[in-house]
Amino acid sequence: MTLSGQRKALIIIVKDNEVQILTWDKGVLNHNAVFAADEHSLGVFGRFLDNHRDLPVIIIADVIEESFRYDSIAHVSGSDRKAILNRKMEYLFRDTVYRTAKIIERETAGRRNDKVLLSALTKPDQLEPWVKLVVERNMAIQTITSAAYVIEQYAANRGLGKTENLLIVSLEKGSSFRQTYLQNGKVMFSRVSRLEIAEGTSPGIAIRNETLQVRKYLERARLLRMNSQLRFHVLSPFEQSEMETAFRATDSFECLSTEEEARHSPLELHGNSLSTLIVILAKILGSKRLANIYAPLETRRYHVLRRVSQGLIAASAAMLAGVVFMKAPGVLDAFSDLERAEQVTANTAPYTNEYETLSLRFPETPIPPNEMELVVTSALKIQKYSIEPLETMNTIGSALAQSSDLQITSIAWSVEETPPPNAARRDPYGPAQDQGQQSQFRRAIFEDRLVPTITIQGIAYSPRSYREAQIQVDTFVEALRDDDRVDRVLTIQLPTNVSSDTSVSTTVDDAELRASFTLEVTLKVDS
Amino acid sequence: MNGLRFDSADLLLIRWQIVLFVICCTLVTGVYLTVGYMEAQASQELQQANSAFERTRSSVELIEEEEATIIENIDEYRVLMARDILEPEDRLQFLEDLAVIRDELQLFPINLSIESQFRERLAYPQSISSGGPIDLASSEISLNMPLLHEEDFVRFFDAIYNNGGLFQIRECLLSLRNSGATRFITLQQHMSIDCTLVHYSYDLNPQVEQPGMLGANNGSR
Repeated sequence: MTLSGQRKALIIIVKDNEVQILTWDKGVLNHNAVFAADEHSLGVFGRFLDNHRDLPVIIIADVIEESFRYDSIAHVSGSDRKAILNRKMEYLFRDTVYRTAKIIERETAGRRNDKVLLSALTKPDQLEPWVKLVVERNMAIQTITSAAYVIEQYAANRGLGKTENLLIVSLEKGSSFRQTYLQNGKVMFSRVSRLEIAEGTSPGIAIRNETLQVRKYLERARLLRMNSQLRFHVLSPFEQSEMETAFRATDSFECLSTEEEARHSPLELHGNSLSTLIVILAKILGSKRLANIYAPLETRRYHVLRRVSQGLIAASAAMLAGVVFMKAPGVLDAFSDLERAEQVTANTAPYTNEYETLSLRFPETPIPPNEMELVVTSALKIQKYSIEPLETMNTIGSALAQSSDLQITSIAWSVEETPPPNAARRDPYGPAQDQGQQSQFRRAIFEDRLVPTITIQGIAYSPRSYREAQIQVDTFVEALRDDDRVDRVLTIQLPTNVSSDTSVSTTVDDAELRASFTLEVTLKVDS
Repeated sequence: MNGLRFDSADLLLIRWQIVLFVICCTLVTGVYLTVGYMEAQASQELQQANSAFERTRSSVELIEEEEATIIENIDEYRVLMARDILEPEDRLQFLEDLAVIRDELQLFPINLSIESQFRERLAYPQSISSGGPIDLASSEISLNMPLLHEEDFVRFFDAIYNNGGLFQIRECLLSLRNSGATRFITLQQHMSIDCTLVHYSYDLNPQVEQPGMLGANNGSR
């Protein structure tokens, strides 16, 4: 059974003289009951229905009173076409609600109208008592169709749907003889008659003769072109070989034995209930639902409700499945996040403990640590450029010990600013804008742009010559340079510097020579 | 369903399916919203846990840095405290101390002038995390006096430096009064000094004003 096949169904086959009841369940067609087609059977039929209320109902009319008419209508579409077809049906089949109309093809010449097939069960009284009992029980009538349309689906199921002209002949045991003509898979005509087999004539020849009459009828009705190929598909209770002998002279044929086909079909029959239509039903129900042909919408009310009900259940299931499908990853993510959160919290605990331990042993501080660091580092910067007079006097004194004839007349200490490497650079310890001399000096401190300098002025004494005075000054300079605290000694003025661009002052007397000198000493700064 | 109308009796036939559908709709909506809420809560909880972890770790690192900073600077800071560098400038006390030094060192009279105090807010360099405002105040002190001997100069500044406060010699000139003198036995003013010092002090609790405004005022308080 395929997905598109019928799952379950209660099948009611209405014939001229009897009503057969079958059930289709789990891919098997069961023959349940047979009722005579009269009023006395309705009560029993009703009770039977009471036991099968959940099954969708398929009603198949296998009656003589089915009419097929042809017409043509203007090529229109939509509601216009529907209105025209309704009007046609109302005109042709006024007395029955079991009617249908369908466009077969479009004419190729003239006004190119649409060709229409109209069919109806022209004796609704045959169906209505049974249909009424079903509807009264709120049972879902899925389909009302006829044997001809069941055979149409059978042809499609057998792969005969594209055969241009096909005549399906089905013979029942009671000599009920149905010939259904299909053109390109669409039922065009179907007739039920009794097969009269003359004495000494084989059943195959009798059937063959009947089909010849139908062919002539079809040709007269211009449904079948003269001498066109017609394929025969015969289902009968007779021997297959006998039937093949009868049809050997035809263009194309296949003859099947009903009993042989029944053996290969999912059927459970009781008594003498085997029929060609039942075999056909068993063949097609597993793979295809029977299409509704004749049931008006009102008759199918409970089927529509059933479909709505199934739709609601399916939608509910789909929603549940959808939300599970959509949100399952979210739930997993949420649990994963919670797990990770727990892990992170667990990882935080050692840090918390460490923080508490550090807090407990945290040294007492008068001010916040960063403020303390700022105060200390800035104070150290200032101290770095604080000249210690004692140290510089010791430096000068030590150097002077080797030049005893020198007299220092003045010592000048100063802290000189050097120009900033980049005037636009931001002062890390103060505002960038010019705040005056003090601010500039302070900025120079914090930018390490100060040079402690000592300017030493003195007089060299020499009783004999200037050269000796010069040597004493040189000795003094060398001694200064050797001092670790001195970075550089620059000689500004020497006693013997008599070049024209310098000034020389000395006292020339009887006692000794005197000449002044000037030195500039740059002190080292601790890094 | 063209032409087919359902009445209440029809709907009653599929009432349980309708109820099921409504329940499913409610359930699905509930599940959708609940899971969404759960996701948001879990995500928030994870974020909070991550934040708490980062915060705690940062706190530990910060407290370790602060501890190291304190250990590194506390001794120097205590020295600064002991030398009254972190106290506001007390000019009266400075004059008193100067008088005592002069008296103890038996110095000649000292000429002194103290300029108005200059105050500027220290900005935190990048190497130090920002903290509260700290002002650095400085006063320029000009002084000159005659000296008997250069030892007086050394002892005077030694006394000034050891008296307390943070001083910096900006410029200072020690000179002989008589450059031709060769004998210094006579008790007289042989030398003189003319110096400019800067006295620094910190204000750890300054008024919260913009540094620019402080600089613009540039005055004493």
